[in-house]
Amino acid sequence: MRSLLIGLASVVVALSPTVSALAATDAGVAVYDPWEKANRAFYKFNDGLDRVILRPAALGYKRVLPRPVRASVRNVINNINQPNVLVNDLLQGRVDRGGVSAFRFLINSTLGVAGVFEVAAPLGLPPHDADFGETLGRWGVPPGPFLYVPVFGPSDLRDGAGRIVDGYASILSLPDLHVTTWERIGFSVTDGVDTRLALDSTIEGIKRTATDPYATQRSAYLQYRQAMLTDSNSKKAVDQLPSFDAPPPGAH
Amino acid sequence: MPSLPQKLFAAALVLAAGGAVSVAPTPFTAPAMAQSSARNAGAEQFVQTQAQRALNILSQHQGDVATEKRLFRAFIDQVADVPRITYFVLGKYSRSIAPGQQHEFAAVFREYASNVYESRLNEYHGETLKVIGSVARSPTDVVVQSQVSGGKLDQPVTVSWRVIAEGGGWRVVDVQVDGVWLAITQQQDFVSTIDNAGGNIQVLIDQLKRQVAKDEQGAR
Repeated sequence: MRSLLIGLASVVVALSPTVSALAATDAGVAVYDPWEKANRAFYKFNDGLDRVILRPAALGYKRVLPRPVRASVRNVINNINQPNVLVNDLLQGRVDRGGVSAFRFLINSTLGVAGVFEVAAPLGLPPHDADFGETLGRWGVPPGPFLYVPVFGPSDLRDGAGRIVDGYASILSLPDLHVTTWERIGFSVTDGVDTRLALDSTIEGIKRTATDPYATQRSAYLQYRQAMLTDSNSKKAVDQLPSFDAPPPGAH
Repeated sequence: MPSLPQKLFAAALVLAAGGAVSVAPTPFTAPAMAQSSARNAGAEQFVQTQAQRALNILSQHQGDVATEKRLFRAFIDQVADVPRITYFVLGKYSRSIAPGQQHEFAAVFREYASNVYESRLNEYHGETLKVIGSVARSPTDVVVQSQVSGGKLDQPVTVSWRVIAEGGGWRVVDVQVDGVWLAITQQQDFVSTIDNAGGNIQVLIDQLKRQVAKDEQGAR
């Protein structure tokens, strides 16, 4: 596993652009999308896939299962992912958050009946995200080129590599658990369908209102991931925001 | 846990949670001007008052589309710096746009933006907003952080407001949820659209007009 991590990190670093190569936009947000043509093709493909399969599956899932059952399914998925969050908390040197993750897993796995019930949050242990793409970012690995991945949506080279590592690092990979390939596929499909459902109004909103939905998703994704790495409300981040100049007289 | 787009539109919600009545912009405080990096009490007070008022009005007028629409437009005019936002979202093209097109764009953008945010109105009600701090870029350009909780939200959402002081009062220019700024995202959307049209701004204007017409049709 260690060699895999180092290998992936090296690939990301090698393929990542230097800071000077980043195309800073007017908004001061770096967008590096050298594979835009291919990415847009994947976006288009994904959009078709979404219309025909992904969204209907998500809406069907909503129709079949009542909200409390879906919430429990989501709790179980989050609980299975919790050890991976814990590992990434520690790899990032965030021991406090790691402690929260550890206690969340212990409490939700026991009192929460194998994660079916979210017991930890009301006890003052709220959930948080952590993944290997974020860990690489905190280690100084730049995001690299933007990627639009079929089925998964917006990403970048660093986060794409991180996603692969997270897949291997899941507790479902533990030999002692004897999880079959089909069970893992079932888990991933359920996770995907539930996530698509949670995003439904937003994805449809972007498609309906953005003049360039691809550029909108790209912008939102890159800002969101950047904010996970640096406190977006720090003085440094605030100082780097683009200026909102007053329009020249008579402009509007 | 709210996902990225949920958060993005949660930002739209708070901006869209409009409907403030006639409220004069809060004057910015002189003491805050002494320290540019310190918290700015005047900006924080402005956000606390206006945003909570917006959320309250939203819950009071739920289902009354006409009233919501009217109050929302009033809110935008009174609380947001529309000319500044309009200029910003065009990015590099704000410098090359022809005067005639400028007016055409300003008119259609106002309708478009109002419709976009307004369409989210009915998804949210009953939330409470609490200002938790602020960071000043300058004495007249401040990012105010707030936490929105309750209502339909499972977990509190952190929402930041970029406010600029001019002419003795504060105005909102951008809203952020978990790192995603609305106006910045909008700018990248619009600039990309114009870039892909070979720099023809009219293509964006026409697209926005079609969008507005479609929204109006849908509302009827």
